[in-house]
Amino acid sequence: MRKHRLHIRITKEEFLELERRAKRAGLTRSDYVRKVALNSSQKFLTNSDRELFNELRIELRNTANLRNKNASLRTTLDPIRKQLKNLIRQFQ
Amino acid sequence: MIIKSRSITKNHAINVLEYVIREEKDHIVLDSDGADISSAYTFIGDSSLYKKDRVTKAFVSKVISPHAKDKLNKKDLKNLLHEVFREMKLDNRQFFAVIHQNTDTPHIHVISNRIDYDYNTWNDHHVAFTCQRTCKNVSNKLGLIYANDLQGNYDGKGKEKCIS
Repeated sequence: MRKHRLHIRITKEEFLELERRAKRAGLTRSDYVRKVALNSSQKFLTNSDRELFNELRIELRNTANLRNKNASLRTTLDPIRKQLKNLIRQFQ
Repeated sequence: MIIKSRSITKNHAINVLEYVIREEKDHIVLDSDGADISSAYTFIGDSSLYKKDRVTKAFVSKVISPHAKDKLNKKDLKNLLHEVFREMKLDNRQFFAVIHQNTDTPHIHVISNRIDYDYNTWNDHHVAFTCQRTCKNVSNKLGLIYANDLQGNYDGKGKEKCIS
């Protein structure tokens, strides 16, 4: 439960910049300030990042299904899955 | 047919997966989607792609057991599995289903992710009633024996009563 409030004064330019950055990260203003203040190592994804992330996930899902159905494909698909997982880990 | 279902945590899911692929259970892999099923840990690892931090019970364990008299083959069981998924709104997500053949009645064990590919969490509120309703609807649709219709035909030990 969030009980405490925090009031800060900022200029109009700062406010607009904050709003732009929050929108780019796909978060509300409050969520953005909370995440940046409390967890500075947090990465923010843009919309294009999210699309790429979803494509990678779909690719990983398809390789898993192929691998499960065809035992002979394991040796060829396992290195590809490893690379996809490494790429996905960069986003998380 | 009866259906049992419950939401479980990650550690519980590992234990269930290790149970369902035990050798003495004489299991056959029925179907799977979206995850590497070569071991319990690879399945859990792949399912971490779809997770939410606040959802602690992120998996669903399910048992579907049709009546022995129905005599379903693998194709029928697969059809039954997907019909149950559709009825319970549990499709479009990672899952792993196996058949256990070590008992008189072959039954299906399913482990699935509670979070689907569109990041929606499955509602497990009053899941026992959902299972009951699904069991009734699917039995009627596929012409299977519904457990409640057999009430009074069996003694407490699972043996059929002699009616003379």
